[in-house]
Amino acid sequence: MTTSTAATPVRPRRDGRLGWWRSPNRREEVLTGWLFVLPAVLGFVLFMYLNFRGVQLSFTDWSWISRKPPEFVGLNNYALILRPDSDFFKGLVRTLIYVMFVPVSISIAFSIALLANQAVKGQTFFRVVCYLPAITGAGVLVIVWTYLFSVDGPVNFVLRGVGIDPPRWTTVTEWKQVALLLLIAWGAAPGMIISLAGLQAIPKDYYDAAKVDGAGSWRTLINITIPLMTPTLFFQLVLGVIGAWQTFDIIYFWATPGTGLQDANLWTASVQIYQYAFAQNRPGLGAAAAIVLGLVILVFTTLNFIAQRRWVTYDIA
Amino acid sequence: MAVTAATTTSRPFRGLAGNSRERIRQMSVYLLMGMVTLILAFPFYYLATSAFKPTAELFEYPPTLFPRSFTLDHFPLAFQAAPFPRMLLNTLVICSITVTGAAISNSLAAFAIARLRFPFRTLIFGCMLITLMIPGWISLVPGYVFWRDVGRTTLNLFGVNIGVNTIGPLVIPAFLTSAYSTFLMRQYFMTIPKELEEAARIDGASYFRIYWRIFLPLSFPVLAVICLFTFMASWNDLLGPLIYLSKPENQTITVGLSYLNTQHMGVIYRGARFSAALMAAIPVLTLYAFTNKYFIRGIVLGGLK
Repeated sequence: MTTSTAATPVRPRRDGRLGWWRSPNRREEVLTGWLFVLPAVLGFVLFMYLNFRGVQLSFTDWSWISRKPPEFVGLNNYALILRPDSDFFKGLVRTLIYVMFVPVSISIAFSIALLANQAVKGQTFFRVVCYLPAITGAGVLVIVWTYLFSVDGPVNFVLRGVGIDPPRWTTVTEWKQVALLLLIAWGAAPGMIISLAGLQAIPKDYYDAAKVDGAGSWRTLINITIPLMTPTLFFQLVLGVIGAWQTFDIIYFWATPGTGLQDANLWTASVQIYQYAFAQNRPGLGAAAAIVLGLVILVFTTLNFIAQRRWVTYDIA
Repeated sequence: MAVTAATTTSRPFRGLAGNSRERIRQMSVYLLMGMVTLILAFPFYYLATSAFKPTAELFEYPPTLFPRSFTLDHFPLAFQAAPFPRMLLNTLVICSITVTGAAISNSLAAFAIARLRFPFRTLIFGCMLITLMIPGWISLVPGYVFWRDVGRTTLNLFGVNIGVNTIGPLVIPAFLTSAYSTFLMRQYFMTIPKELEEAARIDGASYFRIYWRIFLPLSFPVLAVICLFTFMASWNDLLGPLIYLSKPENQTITVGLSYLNTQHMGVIYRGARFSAALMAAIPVLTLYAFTNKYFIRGIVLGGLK
């Protein structure tokens, strides 16, 4: 872009003895490279700046409406939100439900992937259907879910049909929670795409060897498929746990004030961060809560990586 | 043989005429697949039919599986609660700008990182990957402070306000790359043979020309993946529009769905809610219907490194 290469017979040196700025060809390469990554660098600088500001603001107290600048309050915000009876702490404990549900979601995805890996016709269509929940926004899903599980809805109709007295899905907190977990279980299907890619990466030789040894399908699943799938399952677990700690959209639509079935007993940690920061106009508290959530995620991710040594098989031989 | 079921992965489909054990296996696979399909598809069917059922039919028990009558009355009612056509347009504008930004910025950065040698390249790439590990919640409050201050200062883009209450905070970050998309594109660019660009260099092409004329056309599949995922994320984004946009007429359809929930718990609004949800779902579902193979490829590309 800057200079023409035709005029330079000198080839660029890779040994570093000649600076890149000496050769027009290398100069063009370096300057173009810097120009192209400039947006990425700006993005990184902004991101890091915001995170440092986030830490800084978590030690302050102020409100969006007042003109007063943020006032330094030390660890006060942290002391407030880490009390066991604080809304945020309760939210963190509630979020643990979704974190512990991650293995269930992964099992669902894995089971569907086993099904999708069978040699029958129609698998492409099946995959397309399985990915549907991932396309649909939480707002749409929650509206549909509210009426699927309403007193006179289809789910209760089916339950009554098989002789079960249906619970009050949309009024009792515990049952609302169950309905939400069912929504998450339903939404776990798209994970099958990753499980399926893992399944298809397993070399056929292992199955052939198992066949020669006379292993049945159950033994093959337990002794070959699952051990070889553990790296994929681990990958899904790490990302799943990180995502579960940040569960927000469905709870916002399902349970915040004004959105239908409001119920503060369902709020997760991230909903509480949003509540502190904007609805309750205590941004300092929100910033501190976000830092705590970030640290919790860090701890859980580290624990996952420590625990993997016990169960993830990287080499079956 | 006892091992038939174990080796199903590689067995080609031979119709239902296998031995009886094989036939039972296939029937059970189809049965299970049918059940899963039914469970996954039913909510969509329920949404699509309920949006057009008259209110009286919506409250019938048992619920009607096949609608008996058809009405469009719920749509005007939904429009009274929130300006949904306007919201759809807003969402489309935001998504288009975001997708354009993501396509340009990520492909440029990925090309440079995959193909050009320049000082600090590895450091810059490493820094980008670090951003993947920090949850976005930490920048929620400082982000709002930042965009509020941008709106207050003269630091605006060519005299256009880009602070809070504009689409600035929602679309500008897309132009500053996202680590995930850049990573995906870089992986793809790495697989393009070096000879192509060397030949172009010898013919005197600039690096921008190589990017534009060789790499972009060759990387169409992965570019499509990035555009689709960015579109989807932007369409379904709740938190961003929720905090950065305030007036209903500027809001996106995703947040619009929560507007309808606020004061409209009454009986007549049941159908209106379905119709609003349908409006929010149809554009993405239509897009998915035509592009699903790219979606599935994208997951596999990004999921397995």
